Amino acid sequence: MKKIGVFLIVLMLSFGAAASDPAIKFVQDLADEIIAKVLTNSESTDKRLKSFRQTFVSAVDLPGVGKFVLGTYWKKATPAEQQEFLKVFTDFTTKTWADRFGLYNGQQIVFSGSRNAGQNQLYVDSQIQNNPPSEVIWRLKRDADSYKIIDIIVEGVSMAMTYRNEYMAFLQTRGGRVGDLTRELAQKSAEFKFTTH
Amino acid sequence: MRRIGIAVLAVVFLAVAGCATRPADPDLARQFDEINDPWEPVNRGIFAFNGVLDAAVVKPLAVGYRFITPQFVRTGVSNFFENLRTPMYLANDLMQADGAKACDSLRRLLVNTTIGVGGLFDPASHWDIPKKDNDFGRTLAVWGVERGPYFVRPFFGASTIRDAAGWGVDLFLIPTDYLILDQPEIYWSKAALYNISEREQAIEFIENLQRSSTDMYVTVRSLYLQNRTKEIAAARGEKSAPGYAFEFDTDD
Repeated sequence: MKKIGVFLIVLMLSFGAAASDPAIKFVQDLADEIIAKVLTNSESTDKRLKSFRQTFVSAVDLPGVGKFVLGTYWKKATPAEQQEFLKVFTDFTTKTWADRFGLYNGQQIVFSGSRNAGQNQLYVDSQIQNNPPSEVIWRLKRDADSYKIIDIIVEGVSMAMTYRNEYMAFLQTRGGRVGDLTRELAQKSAEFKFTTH
Repeated sequence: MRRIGIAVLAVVFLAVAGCATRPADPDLARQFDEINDPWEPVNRGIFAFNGVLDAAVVKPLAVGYRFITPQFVRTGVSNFFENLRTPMYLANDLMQADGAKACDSLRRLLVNTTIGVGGLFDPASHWDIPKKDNDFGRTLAVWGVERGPYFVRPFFGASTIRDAAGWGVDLFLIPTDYLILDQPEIYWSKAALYNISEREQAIEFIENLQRSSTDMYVTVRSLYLQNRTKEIAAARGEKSAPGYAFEFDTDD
């Protein structure tokens, strides 16, 4: 457990690598932007969270991820429930990840290449240069002439898969009521406290 | 006699607590099979017990440890334990027939024990021999042993049947432990400090998880199993790629 913690806690300075690969460049630019706007910025938490949200929401396909994480329950929800869930999921995920990125330690991130993942998707492989080095795979899908992130996989742990395991287990014990999950997430989101340093 | 008693008790406990039932929905059933946690009710009980212990004892000790020590001391302690464990990594590298990794472990052990003053410092990492751990659970996996059901160890947390067995074996592969085996105070103090040192490094991460998870049991299980899958793929020399598909684009 501890190891995954360290992997997630340390993020990231983009560095070197083949910036000629457009997928790598996309992830690298995103990392640079997060560092500039959020991590090395001395504005208030609220302001930094706001600019992180802007970057995160435009780079990550949160509606797609949100649909994936509900698994079989997505189709069982009404359109209104789906929309409400996506709204709360976006808000809560943004906060959680802002907090994770905020636990930044200044390690460099080195990109080693990209691989095809089928279905108009690809992986960008990278390594955070902490000790031991940790592997971060960015799963992208092509979106018109740009990309969207659909998953971040840190040392084998997929963001999307972890949420899916968690939410499907939750819904299984609540008779599949997506509204219950949305309420639970909204409450956790309202109570969310950021890590202080 | 006492041992038989405990075994009978364990069996009765398992029978009474019952097993998780496989859901009918195909999507849920697939997830149920992948996770393979038939003893979930019992595991949840042990997980809750570990959680109480962590909140009441282990975390406060970790926080206290951070409060009273400067970073360089904590780094030294962590390096020292890492060095004591390196022979165990080396043994597993060899059993997995991974020559390159075994070489790195051996070099780390020699460099850090000598130039690194008994392992307090980690000069090997600065010379491009970064830390790499290993364990007998991975060795068993390389040898073709299936992981078996998910299993939460009392006190020590997330595991599987195979990994818990491997962990038991690894305890015998740390040579320095044999030197203090007849001095229980030292042995247990060492074990306690090691666990507090590990816990200290995870304080923020675990807090972040607790704030974001709707069910820590499921989250920890998911993290553990995914991370192990990756480590075992690496031990087998396979390139890791998540083996699931995002099907929602073509579904409807």
